[in-house]
Amino acid sequence: MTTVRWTLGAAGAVLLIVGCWLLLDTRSGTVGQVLLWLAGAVAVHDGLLVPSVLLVGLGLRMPRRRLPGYAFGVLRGGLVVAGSLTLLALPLVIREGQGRNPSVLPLDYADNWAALVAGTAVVTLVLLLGGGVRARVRGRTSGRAPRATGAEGPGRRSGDRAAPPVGRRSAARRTRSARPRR
Amino acid sequence: MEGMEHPTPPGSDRSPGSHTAGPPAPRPPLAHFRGRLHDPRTATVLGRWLGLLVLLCFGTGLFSHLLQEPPAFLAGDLPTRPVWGYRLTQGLHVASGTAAIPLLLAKLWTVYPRLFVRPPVRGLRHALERLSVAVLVATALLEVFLGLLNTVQWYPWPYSFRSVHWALAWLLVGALLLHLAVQAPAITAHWRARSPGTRRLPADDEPNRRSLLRGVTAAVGAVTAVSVGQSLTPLRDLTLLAPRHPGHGTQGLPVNRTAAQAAIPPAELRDWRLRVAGPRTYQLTRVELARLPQHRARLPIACVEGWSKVADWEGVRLRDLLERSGAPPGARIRIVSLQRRGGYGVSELGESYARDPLTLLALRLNGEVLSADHGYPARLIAPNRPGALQTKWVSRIEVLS
Repeated sequence: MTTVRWTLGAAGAVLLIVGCWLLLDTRSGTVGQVLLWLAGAVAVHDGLLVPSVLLVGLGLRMPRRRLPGYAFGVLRGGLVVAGSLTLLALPLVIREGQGRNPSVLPLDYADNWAALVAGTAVVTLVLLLGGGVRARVRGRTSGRAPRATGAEGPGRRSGDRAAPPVGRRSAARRTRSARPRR
Repeated sequence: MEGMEHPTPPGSDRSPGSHTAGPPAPRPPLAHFRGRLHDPRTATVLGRWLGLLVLLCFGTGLFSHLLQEPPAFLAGDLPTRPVWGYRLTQGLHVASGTAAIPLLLAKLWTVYPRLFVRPPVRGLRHALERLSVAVLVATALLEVFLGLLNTVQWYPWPYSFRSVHWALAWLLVGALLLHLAVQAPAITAHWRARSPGTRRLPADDEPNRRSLLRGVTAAVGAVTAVSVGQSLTPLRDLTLLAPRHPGHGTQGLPVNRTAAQAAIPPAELRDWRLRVAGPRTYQLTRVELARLPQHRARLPIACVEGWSKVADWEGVRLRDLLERSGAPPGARIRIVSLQRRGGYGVSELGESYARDPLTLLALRLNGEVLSADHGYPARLIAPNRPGALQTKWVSRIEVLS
């Protein structure tokens, strides 16, 4: 393990040095510009993209408490798919019609993006409804409520529903962490 | 690493007050993440797929770079088989970069709370660790962004795409290996569902985690399915979000640079002659070229930007032209284009390409005379070679020493 770690670390350091050398070997002015763009990439991601995703996550709290775990997962999956397709579509939609020749960016990307997001919504809905039906059928055949856990099948996540309200939980954690450690 | 070994979010138990009883330590303003799955098991599962994609992208990128700028000792021996080799590797390069978008963002979301770890720096070692993670995150984000925009031929930055994409790739993989070395204990502790670290995490997070991973997998599948058809032509009908489409382009083939973009002078086309400069220099008109033995080759044109398509080419074997000029074996060959604008007006061929029976000076494409945008009067087409080096509008072939 130690050998593997040191080998990985040493190889990483060598590659980093090569990368720095390649970056310094570019035409003058590039290094500063690239550093600026690297910082910009992190700023946009950490300061804009993730906070927006976290805000959406906050907005999903209500459905999360009301929906069974399976259904919440489907809803979140649908949003992840639609969001990823949107990111992929953005440069294409922005540059649509500005291709350098007719075979570059030849498609109607805004329409394609809208169709894909609509398709994702439909698939999400079908999965939500299908999951609900399956859960009900299972509940009826087994004569009780849908199973609480189970990695694959639909069912309520007992953990999520049984969890105490957030405020109480963090209060409990505070008292716990205030105790001296052994 | 320490922050990742606790199921509780970082910040909640990292405060200085946690060691002594006393007034509760002030909570950092942003550091409280109540959401689930910001945990090392999720990071490990997402990370290993992302790591594989990054390594695949790096390997295929290295191969592409090697074909485009081979070191002198390799230049004569570059592989010409399989003929679809570059098509596959460069298709994989762009597809793996595209597929990395959802995975990278999911991975960074998982570890996002660690950005606010307190105290921000606990010593030199910790500072270096955080610096290497900053390099990793920044290069990963920018590298994917640059690559994606390059496939769209959109360059809103002031620097050269090629040299920066190349340098950042090394920084990215270097920082990745360093990250793996630093995080190795956390990774092994959470490698499997039954690994000791995983078992210390709340058990009821597992269905939630699987469901998140299914969502990310679906996203990876979706972005791949709607874009990979630009090189994986059987999926052309699904190609909704790719900058190229196999069905668009003159003579059944997309075009990267048109004759107008390359500023091909019409006057030089009118009395065009191919000039072969070697031990026995000669010139041929297009009619004379067409009278030489013609050969057919079914070869893909595969662009660095990821799109590719197979076509039927017809023309004169380059090696026949070279033999006629008395070129010595092992000679490097330089192909010069008429183009006046843009890069790649000159390309060089090592011996393996120059002597390959499939390397043609093509006069016809898919049964028709080459169109102006595909390189009329004559263009180079060679097996397993990046599209940018398949020089169009060839005017001169030079035998180098």
